[in-house]
Parts: sequence; C-alpha cells; structure tokens
Amino acid sequence: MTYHAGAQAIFAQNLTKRFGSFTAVNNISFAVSKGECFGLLGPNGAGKTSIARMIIGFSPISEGKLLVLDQDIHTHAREVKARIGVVAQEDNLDPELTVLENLLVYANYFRLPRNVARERAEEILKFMDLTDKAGAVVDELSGGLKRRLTLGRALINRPELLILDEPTTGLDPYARQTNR
Amino acid sequence: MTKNKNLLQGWYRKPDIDIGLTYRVFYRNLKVFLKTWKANIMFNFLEPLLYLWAMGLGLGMYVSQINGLSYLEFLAPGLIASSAMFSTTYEVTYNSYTRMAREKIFHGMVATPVSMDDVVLGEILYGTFKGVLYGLVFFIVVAFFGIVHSPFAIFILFPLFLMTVILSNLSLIWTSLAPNYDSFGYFFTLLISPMFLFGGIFFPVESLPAGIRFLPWFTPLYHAVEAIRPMVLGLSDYSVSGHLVWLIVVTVVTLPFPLTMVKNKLIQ
Repeated sequence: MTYHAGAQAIFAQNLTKRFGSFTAVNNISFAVSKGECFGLLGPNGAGKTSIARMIIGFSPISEGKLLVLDQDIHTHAREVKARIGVVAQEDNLDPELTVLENLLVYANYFRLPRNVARERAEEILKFMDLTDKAGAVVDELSGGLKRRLTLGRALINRPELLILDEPTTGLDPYARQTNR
Repeated sequence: MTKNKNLLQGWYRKPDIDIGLTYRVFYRNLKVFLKTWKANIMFNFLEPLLYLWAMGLGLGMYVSQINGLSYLEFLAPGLIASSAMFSTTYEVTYNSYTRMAREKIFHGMVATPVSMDDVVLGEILYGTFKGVLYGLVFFIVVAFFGIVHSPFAIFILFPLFLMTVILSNLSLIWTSLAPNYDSFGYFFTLLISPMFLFGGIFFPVESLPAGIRFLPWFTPLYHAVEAIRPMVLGLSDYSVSGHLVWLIVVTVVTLPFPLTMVKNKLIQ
C-alpha cells in the first residue's frame, strides 16, 4: 500500500484500535481513491464502525497511520471535518428542532453564510422529498424520514468525502434507489 | 472506578476552543429555549416565589430579626441565588445528559468543524445564561416586594455569573460520570439540597453547630448569597470582595474538568 498525495481520500496503514485489552481493529491497511465508492463489509462486531469512527476523528487510533483527505484528523480535525459528511449508525438529528431548522443549525456549524445555508437546505429537502415536512418537528417524523434527513444533513457542506455507517437502515426500497 | 479515573486523563491540556463555534453551540440551545421560554420561566420562578411567601411572610411572622434585618429582607436576596442555582443545575444535569446520551446531539455537532471542547463550553455558557436569567427574573420579584434598597444591586450579576459557571462545571462533571438519569437524584439530594438548606439562605451559617460551621465555606451558593445580600440591601460589607475572590478562583480551577471529562467519555 503506497500513499499518493492528493489522489486518495482515505489512506490507512497498519491501522489498529484497542479498547483496553480488546482489539477492535487489528492491523488493517486500505486506501480509497477520490471519487471512488468504497464499501466495507463484514459480520457484526467486525470493527466497521470502529474504523468509521477513527476516520471522522471520533476515536483516536491506537497504532498505525491514517490520513483523511491527505491530513491527519487528530492534528487537523477542524479542517478535515469541514470537508467530510457523516451519517452515523444511530440517528443524531436534533429532535427539538424542525426539519428545516436541523439543516440550518447544522449549516451554521460549518459557518455557511445564511443565504447559502437556506439555498442548500431547500435543495436538500427537495432532493430527499422532505419539502412538505420542512416545518415538522423531527420527533414527529417516522424512522425512514428521519434517516433521509440525516443523509441530507450530511450533504449540507458539499463534502468531498461522505462516510456512511449503515446508511440505508430504515429506508424504504424507493428511498434506497433514489439515494444511490 | 478505573473507568472514571481515565476520564481525568489529560485535564491539564490546552482546550481546543473556537469562540465563534462555541457561540453556535450556545445559540442552538438558545433557539430551543426561545420556543418554550414562557412555560419554562413560569415553573422555575414559581417555586422560589412560594418559598418567599411561605417562609418570608408565613414563618417571618414569628422571627423577629436576623442581624438587624426583617426575615423577608434576610431571605429574599438568598432566593435570587437559589433560583439561579436550580435553573442552572437542572439544565446542565438532566437536559445536558439528554442532549449528550439520549439524543446524541453532541455527536452530531462534533462531526462538523465544532470540537468537543466547543460543545462543552457552549453547554457551560448556556447553563450560566439560564441561571443568570432566572436569578434576574427573581430579582425583579424581590424588587416588587420592596426589598431592593440600592441601585448597586445590579452588581449581583457578577456573583450570579460566577456561581452559575461553577455550578455548570460541577453539574457537567456529574453528568459525565452519570450512568443514567437516576444518578442525578444523588447529585440533588447530596449536594444541591444541603447547599440550599444550609448555605445561609434561611438562617445565618453562624448558627450551625460548631463542628460543621466551616462546611458552607466550600460551597458556591454560600459565597454568592453572602455577596448578593449586601448588594441588594445596599449595605456596605467589606467581606463581599473576599466572597467574589473565592468565586473567581473556583470558577477558574473547576473549568478544565468538565471539558476533559465529557471529552474523554465520548471520544474513545
């Protein structure tokens, strides 16, 4: 595995994650080229989520090397996170806000100007078929609609890299199709 | 216990704070607050109002004077502080825990350029804001009772601010240790209620038994009450500066712990 600066979205070499005496990720190496769709498959408990958490800077690596968009997420967390989108396994939408507010508040964390945020939010609602629900409080949405919003929210910063951890959980076949 | 010991790892590190993003975290909470503030404010200030009536006017009939003050005068300024205390501690225990552990809002935030330190500081600021706000609302009530005797009373903002920062810090420390909602019962029964009852609001701490008289000195509420009372009543009291120094020192000393402990709990 060799590292090609500028060509790889993710570069992992001898990546290891330990929780105390338990090894969740054991010495793996892989690279994802820019523009590539990369699927990581494995049985439950194989360590897929642990890898995803390391990539998004949610979990410090125990050993090895990990570059995300050519940068070390632990020394350049803010820069890297500004350029990636994340859909976590568990929904973490803001249940106290409406659908539209969720997108706008999230855009605010990326320091998007107000008018850009609004434009993109409307675009995303349309794309995700959620325009009718813009004013609904998230708590009132069904599981599948929440999932669509989570997916849409991850696009608000126009990410160069999208990390999806079990993104289609709860989506109906129609939504799965349109989201490809 | 080893698990909790690890939460302290690196508490001396320099926090990774971006003021602009911290404000955005605070703003998110403010936005939610503005949706429900009417119901919110009513509940939080009704309780001290009931205390003011029951104790100040009811019990006060039987208490002649405390340190030259009527019982209502003695009691009311302290309830400003306790009103702020309850508002902050409820917010930064139950509500912060909900955002952190149940709704996973912190997780969503740190997937953006927001750092975990920004999130925690935003929570501390919001807890402080709420406490100061409820303290001020109750201050207005106290003013209606005719107990505010000096324009300098507005300086109570300083002790209120400092006390609520400290209480936000302590609450978040507990929140980072809490395994579930039930554990907050201990926080309120063991720390907050004793502070409320014995922190010098209802009677001077000098009347506590000699062996435990020193205990209130270790609590933020006591120092806030002792600073706020002379300010509201327009009394000159040189000990106020000592209480303010205590509050400043403890604010600074306690601040690193919630930042580190919440971070260590969530980023593993």
